[in-house]
Amino acid sequence: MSRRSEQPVVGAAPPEQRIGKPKTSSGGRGKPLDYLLARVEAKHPGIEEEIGLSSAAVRAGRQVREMRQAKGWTQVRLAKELGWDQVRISNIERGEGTRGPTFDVLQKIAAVCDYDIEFRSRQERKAFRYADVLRRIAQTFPHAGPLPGTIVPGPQFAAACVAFTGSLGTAVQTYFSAVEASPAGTNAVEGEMSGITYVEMASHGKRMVMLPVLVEESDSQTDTGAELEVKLTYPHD
Amino acid sequence: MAQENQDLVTFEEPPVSVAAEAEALGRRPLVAILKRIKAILNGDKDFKEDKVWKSYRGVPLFVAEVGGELMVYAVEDLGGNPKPACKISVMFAGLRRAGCAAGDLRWNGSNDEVLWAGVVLPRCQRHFD
Repeated sequence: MSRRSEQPVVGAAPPEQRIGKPKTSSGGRGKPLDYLLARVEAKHPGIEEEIGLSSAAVRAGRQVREMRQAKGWTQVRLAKELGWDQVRISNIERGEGTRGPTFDVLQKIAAVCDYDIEFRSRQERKAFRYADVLRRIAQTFPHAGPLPGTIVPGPQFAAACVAFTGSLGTAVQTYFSAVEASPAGTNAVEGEMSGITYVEMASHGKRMVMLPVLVEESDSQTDTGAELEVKLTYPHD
Repeated sequence: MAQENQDLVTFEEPPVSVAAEAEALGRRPLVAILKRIKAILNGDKDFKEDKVWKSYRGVPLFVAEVGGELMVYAVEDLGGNPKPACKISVMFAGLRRAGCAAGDLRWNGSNDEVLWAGVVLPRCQRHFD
């Protein structure tokens, strides 16, 4: 890295650009900062003290902000509900310090935002995320179902997911048989729902929805000559 | 930009994640880069003081040389009234000699168009399109 001082920092700055409304948006894409910090902390123990920033504090701040925004409140409004100063809310949301808010503080914030704080196993979290994906798919294909009634990891939930998958195949077929053929040809779009990546394909007005395959339950059917395939999988233990 | 609603994310792929790039950094430059991120996040450092390197579909990409290494980040204006908010996406934070590839070319720390074509542009395309 000795040449560092000899090399210019990447290129020359173009003429002044004002930050305006972008023509595009990243939406909810990208990993939050706490993911990066957690990896860095694992490799460099104690680094959070050096930088004054920790994954725990940033994650807590992010979740407080999400709870507040879900209520449609400003920091001022949340502070008022709690009888606190707005600066305190701002500090928490920014992940100020290296330890983050105490459990007591988080509980108070959650309570006024109508949230419960629960500890879930990773398997439970996966099941909830998966159920969320199913719920959103069911909004697009309302004839599919029923959705799993209870979200508890295990054979019962897996069986309910598989049953949903089966009925989804028929629902998707019905849905797309009503869609006019598109001259646009075939394209594939990758998307993400609740952290689960899926690929959505469109081919001459017919679409295939695919989710990551851990345990595969597929339902291939033919719809007026065009292949229609639905793959939904439930992540088993 | 105000602190309220300010968001910060890091990009994951391709070809490697920002987190993986950051892990390859030595502790000293890593601390410097993370401190810079914190300063931007807190509003202690105005990102507009950094150079605008490129822009992608209207989103400016700033570059900061921190502790001898590089950080490239995008800033989106999320609007908001009365306080504006922004989202910062770190598109690259790594070694200046990282050697990322764009076709047959490899970045050597100075041929910056390779860094753009090989890493940052594909990330922008995945991130924003």
